Amino acid sequence: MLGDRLQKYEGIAAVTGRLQYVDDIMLPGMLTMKGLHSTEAHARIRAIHMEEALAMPGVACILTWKDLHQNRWGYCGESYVLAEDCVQYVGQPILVVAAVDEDTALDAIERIRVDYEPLPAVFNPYEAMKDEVKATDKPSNWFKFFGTDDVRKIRRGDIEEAFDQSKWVFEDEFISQFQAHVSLETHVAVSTFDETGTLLVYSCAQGIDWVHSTLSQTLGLPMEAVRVRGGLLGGGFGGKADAGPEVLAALATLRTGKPCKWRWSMHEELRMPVKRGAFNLICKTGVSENGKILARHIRTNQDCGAYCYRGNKSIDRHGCAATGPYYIPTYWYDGRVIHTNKVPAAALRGFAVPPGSLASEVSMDRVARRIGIDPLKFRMENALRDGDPNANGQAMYGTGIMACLEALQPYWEEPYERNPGPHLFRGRGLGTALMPNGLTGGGSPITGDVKLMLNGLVSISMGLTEMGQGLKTVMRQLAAEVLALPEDRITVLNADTSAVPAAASPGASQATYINGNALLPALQQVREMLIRHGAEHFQVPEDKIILADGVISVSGEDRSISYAALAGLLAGQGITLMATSSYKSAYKKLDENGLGEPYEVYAYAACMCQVLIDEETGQMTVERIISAVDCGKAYNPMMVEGQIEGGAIMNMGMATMESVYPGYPERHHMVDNLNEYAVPTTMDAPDVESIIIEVPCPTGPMGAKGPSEVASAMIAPAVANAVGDAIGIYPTKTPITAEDVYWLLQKRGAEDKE
Amino acid sequence: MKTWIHFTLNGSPVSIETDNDRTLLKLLREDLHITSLKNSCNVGECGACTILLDGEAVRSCLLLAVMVDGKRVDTLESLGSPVNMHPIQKAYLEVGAVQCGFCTPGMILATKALLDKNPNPTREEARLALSGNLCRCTGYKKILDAVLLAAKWMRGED
Repeated sequence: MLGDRLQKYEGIAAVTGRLQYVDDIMLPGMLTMKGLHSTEAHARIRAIHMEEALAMPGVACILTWKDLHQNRWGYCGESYVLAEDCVQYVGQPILVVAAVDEDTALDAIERIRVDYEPLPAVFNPYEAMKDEVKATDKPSNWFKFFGTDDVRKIRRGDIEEAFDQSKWVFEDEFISQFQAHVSLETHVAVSTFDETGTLLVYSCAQGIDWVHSTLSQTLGLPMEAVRVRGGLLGGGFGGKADAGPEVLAALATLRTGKPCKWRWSMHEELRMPVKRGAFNLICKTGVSENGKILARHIRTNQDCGAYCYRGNKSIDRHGCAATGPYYIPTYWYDGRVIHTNKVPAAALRGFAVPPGSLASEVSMDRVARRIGIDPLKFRMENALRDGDPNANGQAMYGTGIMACLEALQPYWEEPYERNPGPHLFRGRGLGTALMPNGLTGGGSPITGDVKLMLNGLVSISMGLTEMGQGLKTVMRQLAAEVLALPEDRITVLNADTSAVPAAASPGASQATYINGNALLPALQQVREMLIRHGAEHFQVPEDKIILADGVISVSGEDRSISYAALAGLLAGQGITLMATSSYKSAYKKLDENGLGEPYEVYAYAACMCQVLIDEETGQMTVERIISAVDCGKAYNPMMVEGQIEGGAIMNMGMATMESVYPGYPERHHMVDNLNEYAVPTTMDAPDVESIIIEVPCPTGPMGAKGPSEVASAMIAPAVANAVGDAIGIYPTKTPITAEDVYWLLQKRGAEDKE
Repeated sequence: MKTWIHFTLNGSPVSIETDNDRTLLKLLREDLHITSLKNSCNVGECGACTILLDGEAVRSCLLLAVMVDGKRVDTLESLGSPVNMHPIQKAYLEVGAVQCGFCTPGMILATKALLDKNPNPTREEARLALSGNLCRCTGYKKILDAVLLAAKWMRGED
């Protein structure tokens, strides 16, 4: 039932090692694939010498872009499956080899020689903005949004007038890094033929529907000639939203007639698309004498690497969320996307929201301290309330930010020791986030099917893919609640394009929201059918019928019938209790001023972080994270806590250690593997204290919305603010490494002397 | 070059001829089809390929298969099946320590190695014992909860 701490649907299989991930699929005669990746950041390919590799025994085929029906793909149509005559980032795949085993494939790759003619490359986004050195073959490094515009704007109110009326105006510049998902399961695909001879691809993608259409386009096959199965991911976090190795695995199977597997090593995974891109932004905020925000202007340049995967979408989301969960009467936004010779960027947990939160929230703290207001009080003074407009002028409802801030108040006011030892300084910082749920533009429609089977089980088919977060489990809970039967009698099917109505991708924290909204009417219809047919069966009015525990009974009487028995009786009359329903999120297109309703629903969260800093070394320990997250309605509090805790630590990684290009933007060294790309371990992660806030979402299924990204997006600024509190100087870039803290301390020392 | 090796795998004797440069991870997954252990970073950083070697939690990607000759190797399959779960497995489920599940086999084996040696660990001892196993989903809190709950159950406390 809703609100229970129900164990995970696939849990028993998981803890006994019986979950079969895509890499665990081993088929007889299966070929192993390996990719050849560019070692150059920007170069023309003069020639590829692969004669020796082709002649090797055990090499089944070598595929280049010429073997594809269509090489360009992706939302912006900019991406290449394989490089053509140019490479534009280190790691870009050029060709793949399929061979009898991994050693042979690797040996073949080593014998292939690519003749490169190096071209000038540009890594630093500030250099790229000058547009002198071109990162790609396009005329400008500035990405053009749907034609000629290279900037996305929001213009709400007269910004100059509002800054003039402000008592204080503050401006700060922030920069974030390229962050990697580090799903422990790297991208992997297995392709073969199914029992009907149809090409079957096992995918670990979040959006198998998108993979399906990408396969159809790039291979030139009708949709019915390809089947994609998935639904078991070893982590996704946005990195598996789109197609990865599926296209070439499928092509190798079409070419050889054999099952093929292409798994990326972690080294390749870190170098291949996609990552969260880096954001450089300037945040200017005007505040009135009594501490009310009057105006904000955000100017953002997103470094999205060589190709725009979904950078155009992220830039709209970023502009929408960079207000933070505050009422800002006048808001301007200018968002641009810049190309550099780096790995293409797209979504990572929260997409473009965390860099916006970083700027918004560190600004909030600096402003509060400069004008002498308590940072929590300053946030409460300016928090969004029902009916207030957001960045795009959309009226907000179900706004839970005030409840989140109030929940933090007792923690914020707790006394703590600021100087617990020699050289040790402790600080506390707040962070908040506003997270649009759902895809920009409303996303695609989604369908849910519900059927009472003759054996008394209820079968649910749902569009979105389970990606480890527990979507199947919470959908069982929703069904159990509506249909009044135990969860273990509900089976959930998803992620098979030949069997289940597929839909988009579970991303943007939309899964519970839109999947629940798609299923709920169908569940309610089946419930009404149970009542109606139960009433007919017992010849009583419908209001005498009680549904409980999979049994229909008559109120105040001893008569009852199980769902299974009723299904059997009805089958004799040719009746099946089933229903299907669909959902599509509402969306009002943005006008030329960036005003409209870009998303249907927004989630809110606030947190407090406490850090301890060793002044001698700059070493930082994140000691506490307390997160209050408004998820509308927690179907499964244990799983919501899991999202809050995991989201917090992932973004703590962004705050403190993770970077695909350590030293970005000055240096362009790319990490090799997890020996260089640090992610938080048990020793880094504090025990996150979760507070679940339930402010019912007016449009949510039973009031629910998504907690997963909003819980993540607020941590980095809270860490930065805690550092600022501890040492009196605020970091404005992520990650905040020990080295960065050390230099901040030196800077502070220099300022003190002046 | 190939070598014949003989070792105990999940309680049963195994004799197999293997390449001298084959890692234990590959031998177990690809030759013996034990798929509970996972291939992830392959450089000993993530812990997804953890196995028990004579009861110690070790990374099978860093071991050559020939190095386990004469030794005892246990994978998650040795603990319990769906009809007969080990308390550690039950504890992971009970507290919600599993999200995507990919790190879970390695985590459970690292937990087993700890609790076999130290039946009553502190939270900090559990932290240290699991520090070589990455999890990207959970933030570790519920995993540490699971370790301590399993320890309690295995000591016979409720």
